[in-house]
Amino acid sequence: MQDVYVVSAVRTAVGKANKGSLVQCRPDEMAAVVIKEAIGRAGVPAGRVQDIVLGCAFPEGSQGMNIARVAQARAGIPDSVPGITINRFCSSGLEAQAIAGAKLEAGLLGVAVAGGVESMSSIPMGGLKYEPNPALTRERPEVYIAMGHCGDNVAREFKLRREELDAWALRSHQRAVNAIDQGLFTEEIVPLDVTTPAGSMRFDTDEGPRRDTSLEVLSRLKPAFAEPGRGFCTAGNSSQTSDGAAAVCLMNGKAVEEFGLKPLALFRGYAVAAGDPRFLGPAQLEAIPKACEQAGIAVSELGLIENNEAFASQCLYVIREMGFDPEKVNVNGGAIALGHPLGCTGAKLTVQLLHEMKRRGVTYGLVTMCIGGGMGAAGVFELCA
Amino acid sequence: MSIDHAVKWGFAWNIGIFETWDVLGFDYVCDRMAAEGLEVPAIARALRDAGGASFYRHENGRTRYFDLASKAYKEVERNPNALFLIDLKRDNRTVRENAACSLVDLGDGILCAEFHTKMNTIDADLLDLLNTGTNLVNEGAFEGMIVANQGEHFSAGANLFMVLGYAMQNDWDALSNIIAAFQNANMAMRFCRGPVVAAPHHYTFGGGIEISQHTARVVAAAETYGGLVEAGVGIIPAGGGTKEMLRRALAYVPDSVPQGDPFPYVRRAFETIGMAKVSTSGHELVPLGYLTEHDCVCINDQHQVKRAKDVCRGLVLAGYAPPRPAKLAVLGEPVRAAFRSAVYQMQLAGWASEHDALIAEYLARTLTGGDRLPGQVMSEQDVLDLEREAMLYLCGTEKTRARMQYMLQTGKPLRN
Repeated sequence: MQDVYVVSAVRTAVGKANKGSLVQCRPDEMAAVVIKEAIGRAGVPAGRVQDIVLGCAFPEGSQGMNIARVAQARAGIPDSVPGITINRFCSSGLEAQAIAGAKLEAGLLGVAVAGGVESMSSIPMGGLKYEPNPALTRERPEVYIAMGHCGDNVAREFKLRREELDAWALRSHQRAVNAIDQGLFTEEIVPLDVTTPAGSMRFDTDEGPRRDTSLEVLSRLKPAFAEPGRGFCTAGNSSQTSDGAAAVCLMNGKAVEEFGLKPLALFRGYAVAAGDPRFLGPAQLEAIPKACEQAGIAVSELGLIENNEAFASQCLYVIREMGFDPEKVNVNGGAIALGHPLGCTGAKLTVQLLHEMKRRGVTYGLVTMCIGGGMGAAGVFELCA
Repeated sequence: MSIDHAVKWGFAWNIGIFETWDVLGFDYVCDRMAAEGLEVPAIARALRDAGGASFYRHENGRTRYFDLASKAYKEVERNPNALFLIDLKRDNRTVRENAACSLVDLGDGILCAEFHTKMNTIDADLLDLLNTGTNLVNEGAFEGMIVANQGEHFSAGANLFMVLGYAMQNDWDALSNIIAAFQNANMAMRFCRGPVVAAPHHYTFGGGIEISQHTARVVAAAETYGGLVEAGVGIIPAGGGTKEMLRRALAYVPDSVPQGDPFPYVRRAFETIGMAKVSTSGHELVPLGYLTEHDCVCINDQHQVKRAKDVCRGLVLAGYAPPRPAKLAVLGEPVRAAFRSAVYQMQLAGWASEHDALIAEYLARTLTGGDRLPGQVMSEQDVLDLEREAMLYLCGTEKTRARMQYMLQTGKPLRN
């Protein structure tokens, strides 16, 4: 068994779905840009990449036709480099690293690119055509419920207050605005040249964070998924729908040695857990310790955590139950401010985590998220000295 | 007369100041003014001096008004764009009539079916004359028919009192028969040899929309508040309204469209009926899917009947032929499952009750062809039969009966 290294990690800036700068930008174009950049920064010839593993939550339409293979062609990477698209909804971008990582570990691959992409502007949540299994709609309709209901269920069942959720949302925006102002994302972002109705532009700054939001504004918002009084999740304390792509270049120890590279981090563990599809969060509580166990560390050794903010309710629930120090979680803001491009998120959070670990000199970091259908995932990374 | 016109057109009064005076009694009002020390105005003094007893006179189908300048009665000039059924009836142009409906000869070969029940609700008598009208056109006595009235509202739909009565007595045969009679009357209009044109205005609910949907063209008033609101009283449209919403949805995607998917159009029909959506204007009937872009909207409600007649006449002149019966694609269980899943989530959100979900299930069943398999084809009558089954089933439930009772007692929908 070989060690698995992350050699480079890049992402696009994230656009607001349906109204942002990436509305006209095809997902395969975004994916091509980050894949090419990840290989370029790793410093290996593109032809030496042995597989491109790309996560996407709704791989159809412009995200269909095996978008990993399409992106390879658009990136000008030799046709001899294969590509595969995988889907585990919101963890797809992390799952892609785990699949590539397991093959690297086993020696089936030496060099791979893993990442994720989602244009929620192009393909809405639920896909182009929603066709649930008729028997399940009769017998177990909860299998198909929208994520908003799950976010509300978590808040209701685990007794989170609306004020807590709104306060966390405000914090997310404040942290994200601060990170942008300090240029903390500059290194990890690959600019995209995009066309908008206002003309051509270079898109290099996350456009989700709001400078002008306040607790007062957030507390006035109506529940987005249920009757007032019944719902907790609002447009303000839920993640934004977004467009974006991210990729990392992964290598096993043998390849790192061969190319003489200085890798960024070690990919040390990955676990997925699942439970009641009506909830988001509980499965993360199982996945996180498992991933830490694989890495041979205690949960308390995690120095930095990216816990995807699908909903403030799920995010706070996981922080509370895991006993995380909030000061180590989503230090540069989360999906409430920065956006949640479904299949991209796992890769995007890895990119953000690794760059911040490097900046802070943190040894162990975690990427974790809830996944539609009652699942949860966690991945542990170790900074290379 | 100009003052009366001004307040009626400008302020939407039903009758003018001098018409009101006439209704109260000309002499009575003059005497009371004098008794209370008010000055009787010049026009009234002039009318009295001329020996008149009212500002307006209705004689032999004509209306005359008292003209102050000439101090004599003058003929009211008829607006060539306006047609008043009351005038025509005074002219003895009524062809048939009963308590619910009159058939009036509009001239130029066009007949008018005028409703006059309370709120113009639909009952057996009304259907009887509607059928008579259609038959007169089929027999060649008339070339076309309009369904129009100048009451306050076009129609508040089926007579709910009657429907609830049959349901409470468990008289399923009678209920089934009246539903079938309504469906048949609508289908007879749809396939009538001459054009039938509907002129909905103001409240046009349930059966009022269904009648309009079974005509060749609709000339809707701009002030039309219409919709298939049956879900509000616990049932689904069963006079052919569900069938027409499905037929219209499927028509957006004919077989010639490669990989054509009617789902979003049928989904709109499901949502429109399921949420009992009501238009805020005549124009809005089109995007809601109740009417098509071939139908038209008439801004001036005084012109509506004449306009409907002209549209009908135009169709006659253009060599009107009735449509061919539609063949309707069965969408089946897969689409029903998508609807069911959406309704379940509305229940979770508190936006739909358990009974709403039951009604939606029957609506979905009707729109997707019941137990037929996707890809099969059904006739319009097949869907009408599904409508009737759904209606009968829902009328047997306590909560639907409670909704009907509540509506009859309060005029408002019950959320149960």
